[in-house]
Amino acid sequence: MRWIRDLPVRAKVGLVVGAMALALAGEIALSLSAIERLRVGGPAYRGIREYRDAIETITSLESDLNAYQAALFALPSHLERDALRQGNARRAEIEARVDGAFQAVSSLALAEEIRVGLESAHRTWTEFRDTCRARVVPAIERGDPGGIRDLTSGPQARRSQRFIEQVATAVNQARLEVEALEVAAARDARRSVWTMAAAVAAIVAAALAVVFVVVRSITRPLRSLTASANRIAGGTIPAQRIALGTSDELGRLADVFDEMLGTVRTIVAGAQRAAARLDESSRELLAANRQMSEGAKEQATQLQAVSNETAHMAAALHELSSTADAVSRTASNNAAAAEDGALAVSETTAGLDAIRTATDEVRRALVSVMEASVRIRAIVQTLQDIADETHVLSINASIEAARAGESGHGFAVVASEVRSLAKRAADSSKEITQTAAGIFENMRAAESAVGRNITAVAKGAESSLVLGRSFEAIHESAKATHASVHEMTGVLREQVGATQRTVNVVGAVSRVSEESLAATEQIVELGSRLQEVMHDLENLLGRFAVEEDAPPGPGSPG
Amino acid sequence: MNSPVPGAIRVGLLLSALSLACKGDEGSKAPAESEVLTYDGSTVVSSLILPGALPAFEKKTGVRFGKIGTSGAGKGLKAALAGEVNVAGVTRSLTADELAKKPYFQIIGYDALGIWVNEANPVRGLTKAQVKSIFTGQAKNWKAVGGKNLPVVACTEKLDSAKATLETVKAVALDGAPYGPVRQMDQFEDCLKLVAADPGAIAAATFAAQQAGVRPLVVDGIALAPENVRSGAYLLSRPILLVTRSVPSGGLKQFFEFMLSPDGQAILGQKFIAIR
Repeated sequence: MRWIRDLPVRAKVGLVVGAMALALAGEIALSLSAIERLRVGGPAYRGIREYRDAIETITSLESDLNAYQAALFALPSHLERDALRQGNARRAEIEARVDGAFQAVSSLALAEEIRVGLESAHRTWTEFRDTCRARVVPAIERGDPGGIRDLTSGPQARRSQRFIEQVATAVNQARLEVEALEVAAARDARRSVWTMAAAVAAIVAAALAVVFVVVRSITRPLRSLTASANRIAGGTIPAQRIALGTSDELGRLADVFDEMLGTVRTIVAGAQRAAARLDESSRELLAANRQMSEGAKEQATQLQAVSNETAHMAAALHELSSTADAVSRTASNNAAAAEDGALAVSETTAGLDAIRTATDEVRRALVSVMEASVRIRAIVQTLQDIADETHVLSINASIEAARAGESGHGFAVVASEVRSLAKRAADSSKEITQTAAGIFENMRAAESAVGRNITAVAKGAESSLVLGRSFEAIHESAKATHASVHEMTGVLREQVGATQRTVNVVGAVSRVSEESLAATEQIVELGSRLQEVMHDLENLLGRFAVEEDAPPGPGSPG
Repeated sequence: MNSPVPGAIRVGLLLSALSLACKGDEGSKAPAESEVLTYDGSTVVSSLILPGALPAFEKKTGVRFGKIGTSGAGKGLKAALAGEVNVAGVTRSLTADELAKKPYFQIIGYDALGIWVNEANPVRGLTKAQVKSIFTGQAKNWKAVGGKNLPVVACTEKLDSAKATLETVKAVALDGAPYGPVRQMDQFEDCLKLVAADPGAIAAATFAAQQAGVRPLVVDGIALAPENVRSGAYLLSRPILLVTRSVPSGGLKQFFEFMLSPDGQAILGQKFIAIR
């Protein structure tokens, strides 16, 4: 069936039409042959027709015999020669006809028993005829009534009756044959019809098989193409080629389709790769833009800060210039004040020497008090020791009193009193010690304060000297400062002018930077939009799945 | 793409219908083995032909005969024409009245009655009139018919037995006249034994009765020969007919065919004259 697939579509259609036409022609031919075969009088009925003809012929024999007998009965006397001749001619005619009939049926292909029966009838007829010729007719011609008697009740009568019975038997047998032949013919006709039906069915089936193959050779490639196109429509570029491998139009279409598939695969895959690269680049570009934008912003901010700082500096310089003027004036004032201060300080130094002398005296008095207090403490210590020993003695006395028992009772009371006295003495001496210590401490504090006072006064005197020297230095310094500040003020004024110009320049730069920032932001915006476009493009191309190339195998359908 | 399937179904249907049709065909052709045929009519047929023919027929075709009647030709024919039996045996020509009913019949053979005399009897032939005179009792001595001076001993079956032979002879040879004084025996075989033993004896008996010591006479100048019997020239000849109401079919048709077949004719020929 390969050759059918390779046929052009027009030839395929032609093949289908041809197959159908062939099937139709076959059906018509078979139908015609069946009609010819089955029609009344056709081959199927030849035997029946022969038997029917035979029956007709045989049946005619009976009437011929009757006619023959009638001709004999009608034979006139010998005197009427013309009539006699006519009668004999009539008999001869019938004889010829009967003989002809027997000859006719004997030539037919009749059943054995019928032929046997007809042979019997033929012999009966021959006997009858010969007897008529030999005896009956001459008797009638002679006027002998025995001739007619023979015909009516003699052997000729029996022969004629037997002949009729034999002929009837043959006819009846032929009727059976006809019936059997009719049954066979009907069966044959049925069989013919069914055979024809089977043949027609086979032809139709063969035609349908051809049609099926042809239709399939058209629809299968179309299905393959449709399926492939559907996959492409669904976004998959199939790796499998259709590769029909036929040389008809559909095969060529499939080849072109395969070629197109390859091209589309290449294009889509390339576009997808390019889009991916472009996307990456645009990302990088966007990132760089953002970075640049940030930098520009930073720059602008810093420029702003520089501008501000510069302005501040200009202001500060201006202020400084003013301050310098004030400082110059103050320095001049300071020089005068320092002169006045030096004078006051020399007066203070003299006062301080007098205070130091008085204070030294107070201090010596305080030291003597402190010495006295130390001696008091020594005395009190002695008192203390005595009190302690007394206490010990009182305890020993108590113990001794206890040893003495009842007699020591009074001594024990004394010992107890001594002990409390010792305790009171000890307590008083502690009180004195503490008081003396307090005095000593107060004195020492006083002496210390006085000492410090003396030191302070000494230091003050010393400081006054230093102050005096300082005032002189200040005076000198103030004078120098005044000169320096005056000089600096001039420089500052120049500086303020320069700074103002710087401020102006920085402001201009800052404006340019802001403009640049705006431009950078616009670039970033454009970069974002580019990214979106790239995204869309990638989505679009992502709808196409380019299948991996299948390993070479039985990829082609059919 | 839907054409091949219906096509296949069409082919399948046609083929199955075809096979069914063939089966049906065979079925109609097969003989009904359960078919049982019935017979009535001539006792010559029922007692002399059927006993030999039926076993062979049944063995050959599988068709059986049930009831075999012995009512005689006339009654059996009426029964067959009335449809009471399938087939009747008739051992004479059909009458005009019977033929008027358009029965279906076939000659299956011929029977003839011989006029048997002792082998030693010099008389070779008799005319019908002489036969009549002997059996009606008019001729009492063979001299009367050209023979020796010997008393005629006519032998028949019992006159009241209504046997076919008696009837035939009476009708055909005696022209209906009653039998004269005759020796009456139970069977025609007994008469033939008598004929074989007695030179003056004479008896009418079937063609098949041929035996030693007896000889058939020529009647009306025509000898008792098969061809003369078939053609009807011999006086005491008769056809053996099978008669049915209509054209036979099935087992009945097979029976007709069997009786005319070589097998059937061989059986019939043992006692009668076959159609060939």
